[in-house]
Amino acid sequence: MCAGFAVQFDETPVPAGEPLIRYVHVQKAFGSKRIYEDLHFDVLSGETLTILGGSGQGKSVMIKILIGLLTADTGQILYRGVDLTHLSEFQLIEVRKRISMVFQLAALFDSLTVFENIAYPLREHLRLEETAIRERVEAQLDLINLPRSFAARYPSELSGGMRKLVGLARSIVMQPEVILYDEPTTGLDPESTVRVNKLIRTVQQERGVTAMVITHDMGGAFYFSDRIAFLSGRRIHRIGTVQEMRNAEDEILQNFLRGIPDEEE
Amino acid sequence: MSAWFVSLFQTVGARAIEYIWFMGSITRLSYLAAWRMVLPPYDLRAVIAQIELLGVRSLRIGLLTAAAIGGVMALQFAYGLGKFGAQDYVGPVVAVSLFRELAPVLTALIVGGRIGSGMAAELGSMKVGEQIDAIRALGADPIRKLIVPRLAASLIIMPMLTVFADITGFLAAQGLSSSQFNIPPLFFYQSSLDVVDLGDFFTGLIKAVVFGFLVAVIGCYQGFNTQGGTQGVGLSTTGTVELISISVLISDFFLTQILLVVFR
Repeated sequence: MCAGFAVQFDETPVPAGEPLIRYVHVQKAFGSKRIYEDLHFDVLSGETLTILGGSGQGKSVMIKILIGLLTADTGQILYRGVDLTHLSEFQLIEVRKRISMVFQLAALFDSLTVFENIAYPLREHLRLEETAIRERVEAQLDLINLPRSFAARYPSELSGGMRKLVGLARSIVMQPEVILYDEPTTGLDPESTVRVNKLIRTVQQERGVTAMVITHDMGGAFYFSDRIAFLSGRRIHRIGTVQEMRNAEDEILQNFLRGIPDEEE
Repeated sequence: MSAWFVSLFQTVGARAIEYIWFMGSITRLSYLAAWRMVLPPYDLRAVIAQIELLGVRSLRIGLLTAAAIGGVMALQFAYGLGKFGAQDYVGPVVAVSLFRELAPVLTALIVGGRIGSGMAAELGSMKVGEQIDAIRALGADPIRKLIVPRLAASLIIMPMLTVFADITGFLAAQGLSSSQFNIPPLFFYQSSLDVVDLGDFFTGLIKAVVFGFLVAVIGCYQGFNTQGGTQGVGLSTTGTVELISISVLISDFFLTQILLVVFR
């Protein structure tokens, strides 16, 4: 269980625009299906980087291998200079306190109330008084604009949009340095989509977190992203600012942005 | 002929590898769960919640099974032994059969199957809903959070349910023997007490602990390895009942051999 020593990270703030996370020649396959041949790019401190790409290209896998929910076959993933690919489950606990993830289906715990879901990481990692936990949970509820009376409800009593928001609140309650969003607006109505997109931007602007967002929602991507990476052909095909991506003379990228299917896929 | 042989060899080989992989994985999970169960921190509240959820709610079916088996055993033995003029031995024979074999095994098959499949369904739903990944992503340990309370609860409730089954089955046999074969209840009780010893009782209890371990580990393993959405949950659940039944019956054979030597 306690395989290896606890991992130590350099606490010096990484200046905005400097690489915080680096994917270095990462390869990944599931059996005979190759997902990445050579994944190589940086995530810069303080930015919101959106990953675009067709279904089955391995966008979610990209963020899951970052926090060790899946393992890379070869290559390195560096966070603050530390290679995360060979860390044990015990060592990954420190990583997961700093890099949190919002799941596609919110992944709220059905048997716990909204309050207990948001308080879960606090109870797991911090020795806080009950009043302090309550204060921090209520602050998250205020941030996501969910009435405090909803704290006593169970996930099954919430709409899809609310579940996503609670999932986000649970992810940010530990004040992570990085947030990973796995298709945060999939399956939501337009109003909830706008609400979630605004929240992603608010969290990034107010807390200065670095974010990686996997999404199919182009409007959202152009709204909250600083940069966009386009995954195609088992690697990052192109990466750049929103404007650069919009204006790129790249047939594969432009076809994707216009919703024209790629015949190679 | 050679192509047929190669195909057969490949099929058997693949099955063997699959089986070895399964045995290795479930042994590893058992080790990890048992290790975490003895090391602090202990979440007693979670264990009590599981005892309530798995044990208390299984009591009715457990007692009903035991009563039915006790009654049927009394009927069969009273009829069979009556042919030899040995109806006086119905009590001891029923008691020894119940305590050593029927109560622990039938409780494990019926109640254990229910408990294990419940675990597989719940954990399987959590797996396909990414809740187990969420626990890991939040820096917690899913084995400690989900498997340890279920394993601890199963180790406690299976022997308890077996003792309840012993008592219920015995009382049912006693009542039926009295009402249908005019065997006085006090005689039934006293004759049983003369023959049954603590070895018989502990044989059943030890079996129940082992079965409790198997039920929880198989149920949790199946849940944690669920794949493919709601259909996968269904497959895990039915597979769990099958696996528990086979494991209980096979382990019962070996346990009986060992315990006959220990409590001779």
